Amino acid sequence: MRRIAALARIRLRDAEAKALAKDFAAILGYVDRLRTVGEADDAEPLTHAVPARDPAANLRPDEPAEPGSAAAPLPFETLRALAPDLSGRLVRVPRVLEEGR
Amino acid sequence: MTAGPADAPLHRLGALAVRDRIASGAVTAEAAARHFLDRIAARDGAIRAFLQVDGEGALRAAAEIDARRARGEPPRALEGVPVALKDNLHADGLRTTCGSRILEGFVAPRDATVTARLRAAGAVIVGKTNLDEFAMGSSTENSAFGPTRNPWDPARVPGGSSGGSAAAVAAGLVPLAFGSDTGGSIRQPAALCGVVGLKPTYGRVSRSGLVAFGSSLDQVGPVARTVRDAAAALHAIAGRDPLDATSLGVDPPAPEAAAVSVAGLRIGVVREHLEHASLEPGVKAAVGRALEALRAAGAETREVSLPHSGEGIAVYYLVATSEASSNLARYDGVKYGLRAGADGDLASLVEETRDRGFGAEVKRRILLGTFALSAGYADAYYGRALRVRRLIARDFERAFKTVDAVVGPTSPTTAFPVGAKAADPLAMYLCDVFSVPAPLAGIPAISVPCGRDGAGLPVGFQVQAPALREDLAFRVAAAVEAACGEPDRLPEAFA
Amino acid sequence: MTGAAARLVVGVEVHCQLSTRTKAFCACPVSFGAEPNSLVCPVCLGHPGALPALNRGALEAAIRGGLALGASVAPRGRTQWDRKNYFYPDLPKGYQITQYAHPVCEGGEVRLSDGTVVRVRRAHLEEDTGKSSHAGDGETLVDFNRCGTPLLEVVTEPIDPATPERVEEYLRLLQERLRLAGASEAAMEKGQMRCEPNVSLARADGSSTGISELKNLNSFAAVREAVAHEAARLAGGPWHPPGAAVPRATFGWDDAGKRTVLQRTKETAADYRYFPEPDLPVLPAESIAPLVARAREALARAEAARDRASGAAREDATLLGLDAAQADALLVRDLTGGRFRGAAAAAAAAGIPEGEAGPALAAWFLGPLAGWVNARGGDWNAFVPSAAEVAAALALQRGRRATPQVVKEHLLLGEWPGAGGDPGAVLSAKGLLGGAAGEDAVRAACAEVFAANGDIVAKIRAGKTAAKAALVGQVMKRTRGTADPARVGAILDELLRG
Repeated sequence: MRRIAALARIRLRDAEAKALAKDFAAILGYVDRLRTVGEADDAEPLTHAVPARDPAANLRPDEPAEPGSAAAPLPFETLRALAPDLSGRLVRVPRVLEEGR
Repeated sequence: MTAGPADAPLHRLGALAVRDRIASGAVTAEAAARHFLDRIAARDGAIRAFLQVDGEGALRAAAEIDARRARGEPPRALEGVPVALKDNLHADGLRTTCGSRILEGFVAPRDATVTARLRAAGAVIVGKTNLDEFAMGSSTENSAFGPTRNPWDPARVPGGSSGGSAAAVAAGLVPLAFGSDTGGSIRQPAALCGVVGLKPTYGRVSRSGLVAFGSSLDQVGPVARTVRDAAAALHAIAGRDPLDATSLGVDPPAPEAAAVSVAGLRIGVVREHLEHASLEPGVKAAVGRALEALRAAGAETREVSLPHSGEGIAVYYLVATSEASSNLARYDGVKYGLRAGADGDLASLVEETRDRGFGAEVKRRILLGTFALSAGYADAYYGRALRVRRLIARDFERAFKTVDAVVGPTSPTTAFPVGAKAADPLAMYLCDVFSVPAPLAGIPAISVPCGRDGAGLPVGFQVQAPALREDLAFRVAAAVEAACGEPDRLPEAFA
Repeated sequence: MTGAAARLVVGVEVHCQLSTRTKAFCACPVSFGAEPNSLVCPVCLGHPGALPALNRGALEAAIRGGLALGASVAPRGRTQWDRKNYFYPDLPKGYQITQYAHPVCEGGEVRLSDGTVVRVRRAHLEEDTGKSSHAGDGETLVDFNRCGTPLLEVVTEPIDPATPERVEEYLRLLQERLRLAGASEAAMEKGQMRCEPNVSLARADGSSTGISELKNLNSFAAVREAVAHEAARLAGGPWHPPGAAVPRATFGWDDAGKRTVLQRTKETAADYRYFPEPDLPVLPAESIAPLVARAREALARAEAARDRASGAAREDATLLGLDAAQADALLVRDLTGGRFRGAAAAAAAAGIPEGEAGPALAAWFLGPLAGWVNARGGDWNAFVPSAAEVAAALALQRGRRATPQVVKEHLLLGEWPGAGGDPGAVLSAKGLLGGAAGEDAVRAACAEVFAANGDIVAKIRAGKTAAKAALVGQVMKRTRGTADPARVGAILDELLRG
């Protein structure tokens, strides 16, 4: 549970962890029923429910968007208005403990 | 049918009827907008359907529409119709909150594609409606800004997650609203509020500008007073969008499709659903009356089997939460929204931001989804769920070889009291038992009111059709509406 | 170190920026050196509600690149994208769109000059992250411009046994192929080709060291040096038994200090929770068949053009008196970026016969000048002298106004490659320019040396003709190498005859 919370960057206090463990136990106990569905062993996973007939036909052409259109880059002012902390034109965050990824 | 006689007040009319009144000159767009804005101001306090109202913007848009009319320009599909948008859909210049604190300060820099298409059809955006946080819930009790109440009984929930949109239409605060449906989030609140709610075929409507919850399930759809209005709304917003790679280049059905008779149609009923343990007697009875009405209109009803529909909740709560755990990773306080003040490193900042910004249900689902995808468990949970999803889709394919539509109750219960299910997440999840199969299979589904239970609470009848066959869903729903519906009826408190 | 000799094993991962106008999943322009955070949109910024849309040009470039490596396209019947989930400030969505289970290309190989075949495991299309700079005072600053730039990640099977030179050659050939295919410019100095060799040592008994993943390698020379350095460092162990899971660690290369610096150990593999990207369609192989056909045609045209150039090159090689290896390096592969050809043309214009200029210039460009360029990271743009200036240096040597020794030491290996300038003026300023005017000086020097070395003169007259070389050497010293040794020999002969 702690490992999952860390992966998701969700803080878990002790009381919450207890309650969550209970909820999880109930939910996972419920979804475990899927193990008993025999035909699922051979079924292909379904990730895209309604595929296009010709998915390569509508690929986006390699062209910059018209200025002002819905696909154009955002003006810096917009970024500035939304960003919590800027240093000049760069978004500033407290340092990352791990160098590199 | 467009709801209401010529002298009915605007708020008892359906969207197309409002449009027609404006087009005929009987009322200006501005007057119509004011009418609804005044109603919202006076009456929304009791149900809190709205999170934001943009009176200025609405009146500006309405004035522009009146100017168009004066110039003699022909009316567009939704000309002058005031509409509300669930607050997980972007409208340029308005905040998008998703019912969450974590998007504090986020003002949408651009319209969602749906929003842009609505404006292009002449609709007047009046505001944003309340929702369960990030669309996760079935009661609109999970909003960070307080619950919305059911206009038929304010002690009860309107359903969720598009509870605000459904309540707004049910209370006559707007004739048309839009929501999003991932596991039933348009249809279930529509059922609980006694209005029409449509989840289109996956890919029918662009998701660009809809804040993602379950990407392979989400669809934007209308909440309306009549089936015909819902069909017209779909027509205005559907179609291929280059910004959404999953959107399909297929034309939506003409709104007139709803008017075609159901004589000769084969309608499937799932026995397991009508015998379901959680189905309230009042709901069962109303659904039975709707089936009778369909038979009387010349349709043939027969039993079909969807053997894996019982696994739908389990599949849904693994697939949707897995996708959500990834979709909500972007809320980290770095580029926009809430950023918690923190000393220390970035990881603490991100954790603190998400701790303060997300509510309990959102956290629960993110954790569940993270777990379902995690190393060592992904095959058994996420992977397994996808395989059973395939089986659910195949069940529908098989059923649709013998019937044109599959019908049943939208929700096992009518509106339940606020707080009744809040303590038991699993109990809340089970509200979706009839509504999750359609998004899992990608097929369209509509909920249409089919009467009341013993306590006078609305009951919704669900019609599911094959992919891209919303026309069939509209036909069947319209027939039920003609026999059992009361599209111009408002709750006493909102009459 | 005890036991059997260890083999160097290197698997190479390269991220190449594809040559496109816009990003992988949005229409923002791809641009080098733009103002920070000026080429961003809701999609590449990870705004709520934004969706990716695949760039057809990026897919085509990726396919051309894969085909140029001999890879198969979508051999599993389809290609699709996946989400790789982790948190990092320059990863705005909290996940990277990449390809995990169904990469667009698999297989392929690159043959090295020593016959080694480097097998390519896969090449897939993914998006780049933004750029984080870690400021000293505990801050990280992020520029999102690079977010979403399309990359082709090429992964090889381990090269076993590897050498630093083999790794370098693989990278050069990879760059050449990708350039030929028009898939990527792959210029390392522009960050368009980021190389990560995974280095370990293995022994015949199956034991092996841990794996070092090397990063921050900005030139071919750096790759070669870093691999060599790490191989030497790993030789000290520790060694892990056959079949054991070996630890992986990431090292950054410190080019100034010429050493690897540990960044972090990967004790537990990160859990990226890969799952299929729901926002992008699956592309069955049939659906991209027309695209693949077009890519094959484009590649064939590029190869034909190159073959024509190399055929033309073969003709030129004969005219220029080059051998096959020289012709391949200087004309076909054109390692000097046209500079050899330019100098040869300038030499011809200056009246030097091609058959003479060719071999001389070839020796210069492949020898001391290549050495000079490679010591500076391998970019010929650092070489300043113009074609005319190079031809002038050859003319000086031919005209015996500067000896080959002087030309080599004071021009080719001096400051001249980095500064340019008329070679005559450069040598003259150093007092090293000889020539017709210097005949008197040469005669005077010969007379002085002849007079000062009576004993050697006596030896020569007694029959030890080899001793004449010592006199020549002294004259050369006196004239600081500017005298023509043949002329000196002739003058000394005159003096010896009396």
